[in-house]
Amino acid sequence: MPKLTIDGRPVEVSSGTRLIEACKQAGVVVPHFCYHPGLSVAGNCRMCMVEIEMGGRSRVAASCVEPALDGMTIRTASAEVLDTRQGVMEFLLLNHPIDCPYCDCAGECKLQDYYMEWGAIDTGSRRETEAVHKPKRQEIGPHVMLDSERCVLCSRCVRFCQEVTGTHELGIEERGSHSTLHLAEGKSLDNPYSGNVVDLCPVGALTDRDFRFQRRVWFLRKADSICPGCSKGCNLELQFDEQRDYKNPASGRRVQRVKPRFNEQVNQWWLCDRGRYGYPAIDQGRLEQPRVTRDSQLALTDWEDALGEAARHLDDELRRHADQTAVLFSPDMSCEDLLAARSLFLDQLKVTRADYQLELDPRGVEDGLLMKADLHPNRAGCAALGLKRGAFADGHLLDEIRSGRVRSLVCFHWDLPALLGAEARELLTHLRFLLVITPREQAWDTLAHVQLPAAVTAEQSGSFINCDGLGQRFQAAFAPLGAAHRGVDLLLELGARLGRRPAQATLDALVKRLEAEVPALRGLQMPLAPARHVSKEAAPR
Amino acid sequence: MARFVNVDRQATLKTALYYPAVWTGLWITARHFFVNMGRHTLHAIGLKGGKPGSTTLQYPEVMRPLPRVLRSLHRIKVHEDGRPKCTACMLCETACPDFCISITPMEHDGSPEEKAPAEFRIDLDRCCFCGFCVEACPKDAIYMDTQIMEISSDRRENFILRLPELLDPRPLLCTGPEFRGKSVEKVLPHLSWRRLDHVTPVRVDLSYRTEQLARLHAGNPGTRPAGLE
Repeated sequence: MPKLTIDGRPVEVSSGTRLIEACKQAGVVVPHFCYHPGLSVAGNCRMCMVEIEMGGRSRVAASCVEPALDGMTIRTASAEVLDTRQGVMEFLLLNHPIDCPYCDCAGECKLQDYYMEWGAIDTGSRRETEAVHKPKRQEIGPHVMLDSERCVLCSRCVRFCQEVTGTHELGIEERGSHSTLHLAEGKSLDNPYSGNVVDLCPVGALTDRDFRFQRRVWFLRKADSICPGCSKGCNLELQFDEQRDYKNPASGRRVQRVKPRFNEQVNQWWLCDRGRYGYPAIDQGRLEQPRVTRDSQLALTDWEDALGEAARHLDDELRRHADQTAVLFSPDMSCEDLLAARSLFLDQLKVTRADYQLELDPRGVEDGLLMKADLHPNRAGCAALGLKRGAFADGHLLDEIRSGRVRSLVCFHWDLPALLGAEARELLTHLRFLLVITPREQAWDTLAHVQLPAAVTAEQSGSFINCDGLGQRFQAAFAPLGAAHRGVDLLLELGARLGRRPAQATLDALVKRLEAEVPALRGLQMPLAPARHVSKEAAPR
Repeated sequence: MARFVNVDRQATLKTALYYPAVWTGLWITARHFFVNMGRHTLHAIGLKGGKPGSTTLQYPEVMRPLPRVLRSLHRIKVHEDGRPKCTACMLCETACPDFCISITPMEHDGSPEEKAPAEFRIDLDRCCFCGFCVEACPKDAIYMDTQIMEISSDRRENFILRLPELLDPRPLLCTGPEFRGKSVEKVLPHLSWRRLDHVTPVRVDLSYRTEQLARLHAGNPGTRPAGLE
């Protein structure tokens, strides 16, 4: 265990630690462009130079390359270091275009930050020749825009494509100040993780085509969330701007972009493009208002009416044909929603037929990195809450409906009309009562008797258990769209209409119960928004 | 609790002195009126030797010289080829303490800056004329030097400046009842007393945003969060 002194502070680090990491442990941030803990060390930006004194001699060296050794004395801000840093900044800024006013990276750009901190020196203009110009505005892939002029040649993106995805799309050509980031011959940056190079780029050379010119980064607010795209449960940050949206009503999107959040156990620094660019589903294609089918006519209605209608029918069905009633839970629901649904339907209303899986469920692509074939974020949560598979007698929902053993159904989230196909849709008309609770606008038409709009992951706090059995909590970013309500509130209110007092009347109580019941969800830290009741909210007018 | 008291106000010598004072005041006002009318008549028939009829400025025909640093109505400068100097960098929107600026940016293929405003709105109802937007602009695009200060209307929407008015603010002066329904070219000769040369763009070309505007207006506003408007 080498012991060393960094800026006067004694530190002990594990052997083999790079100096730059040792400095981080000592609480000193060394500026750097090319170093990234998730990639190999390139040591080419020379920004992380520190002064190393050992055995009576001192030298300036790149801290990302040098391993920490016993007895080293490191100075990260000596006159010599500052001089080196300023020299590096001068070279970097020599040909760097002043695109900041229209560069999407402005505000989160390392070059900008370091210029303000280390490079704002007046060296006078030494330019005698025209600046080197390189190609701008190159669409190098479906998600990434390249501006070679802004590139500082840190090669992080190149190393990412070599080491993480192994697709080798990017390389650096030419020499000296003419070095340029290039796509490999005949290739396009279209691997399923291409969006990560935008996060890796310390400057505005690689920018997001999807986020291009949408908002300036300093307007964005963020919420910690979990990707609902597959069972991996990658940690991500939803970056959104509600304040400015009313000024641009036509833009119609609240989430501006999605960025990965570091989690050693799950996704490290990365996020797949499917998760990163899947956020339009938060605002588009949503069910915004309760719907009721009366006399074969679909009508938009308010919560009072829809909940009353649902409770009346459900009560009637349960009273007369309790054994013909089934509940189809969804592995897209959070653990809190599942618990509330379970305690209402299974524990209190004593429904015996329930399941959370469909045979028709489409599977996604699985690779060795992040993407999982199971496209539902909380299948493990369903199992952890004791929901049983194959509770239908023959294990197949359609057979049950066809044979008339199931005559009324409560369906969460599943898009049955799309999954069943045209001919099987006819089966659903045999149901006496069909209650649908979903955040999505689905093609139920008049098939469903009542459709209640639920919130999506971004709009509620909750927790998922991922494919590795890891429990993770997520935070609500903003209020549910339109008249939609969080699943927990909605179920509590429905329970109240059915004359059932829930055992856990608030979200906090639900969370406590979950923690007691599911070991994976114990001790998760993240603030949860207080529970609100549906009936206290104004109904849509 | 209200209390009513009847007071009998008798005319005394002291109060009677009021009447001569009223007549004196009226006489002074009338004298100034007739003397000034005489001076203006002399001025009108050319007997004042080029001097003004009186020391009063005959606004709006005559404009008081305004200091050059005065912060008046905003404008956005244009390049020689007619495209706005603004690159929609949003620094003015960021600096604005009143949140009165809102910019919708778009990709502009014909511009070396790649980015241009599809819409630029300034809500004058909110503006406090602090000039922070001018200070913040890195492109030297927004100015408050039009010397236009007469901003009045009976409609709120008329206080929202958009890109065309910002690039050429002259039509804003043609809103008086006597100008209603007349073209800018017809009205401008009547505004010869205005110094408008410096705000007159050689050319304004907003054709780059036609498609984008159509797309924006066709956009679906139904998905915006409720309660913000």
